Amino acid sequence: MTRPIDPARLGALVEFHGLVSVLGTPQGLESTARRLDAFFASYGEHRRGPGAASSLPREQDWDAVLQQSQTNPHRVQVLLQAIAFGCSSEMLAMLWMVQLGASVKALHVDHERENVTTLSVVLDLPGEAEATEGFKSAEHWDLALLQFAALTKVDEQPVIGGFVALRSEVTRR
Amino acid sequence: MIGGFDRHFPLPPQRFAEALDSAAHAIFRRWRRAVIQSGDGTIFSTLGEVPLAVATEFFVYRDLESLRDWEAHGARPENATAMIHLLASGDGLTIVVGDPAEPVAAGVLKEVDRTRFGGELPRRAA
Repeated sequence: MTRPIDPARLGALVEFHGLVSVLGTPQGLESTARRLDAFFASYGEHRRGPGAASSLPREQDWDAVLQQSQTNPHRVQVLLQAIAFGCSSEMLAMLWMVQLGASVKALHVDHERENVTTLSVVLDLPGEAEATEGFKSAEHWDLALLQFAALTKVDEQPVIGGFVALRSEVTRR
Repeated sequence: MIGGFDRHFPLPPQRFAEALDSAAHAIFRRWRRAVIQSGDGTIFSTLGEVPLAVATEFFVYRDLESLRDWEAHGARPENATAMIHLLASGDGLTIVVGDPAEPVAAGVLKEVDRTRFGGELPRRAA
């Protein structure tokens, strides 16, 4: 059985990553905990999909986040920043799979002002067997993920190398 | 790694873990059976479990067989392009490859060289 999210530990993580002003109120922490739980559920659903043979962990939970906060805090920072931006649990699962080794194979944005925003992403999952997994969201705030994209080119061909945390005066690390 | 080709990427220390992560991702995308060994000898087969913010030196092997070959024989022409050495220290990230013209090494070096992290200006003009 997975441990429930510890509000005090979550508060410490939020503070460590410089997000107190955004997520640090009691209501903010409560909301963040709910969204983390929704993200864990979405991750598990996608992980049981076509890419079940992938080398990604089968589940993610609070303990996994705490573990990553010790060994790879930069990954937890971008996750919390995405939560602060209001990203959906669907795209948080996508982002986290990239943190753990998946890569962006395709990304499509459709936006029409005051009408629609759609973001769809296809990931190449890590592991010996080639497998992909699709993610789709109509949450406008998911476009904030584009700010985290590490863009690069190889022989003039476009690559999204991953997602990395923003650096600004609101984040201290 | 003795010998090989060194390429240094200047970075602030706050970016070391992210730079190591980016480089390791770039390698794992090309070597689907890659394994990674930290400087203390611990072996990891998935990127998710690698403690990139704790250690600063990693050896990424094409596969477990390549790691065993390196352990048994050290560097030799037959395995020189089957391992990529990542070292974050001082003023940036150093990547050591056996042959910079080999396709995987060349791709990784180009990818890392041109990566623009979110929220910061590029290191040089596109």
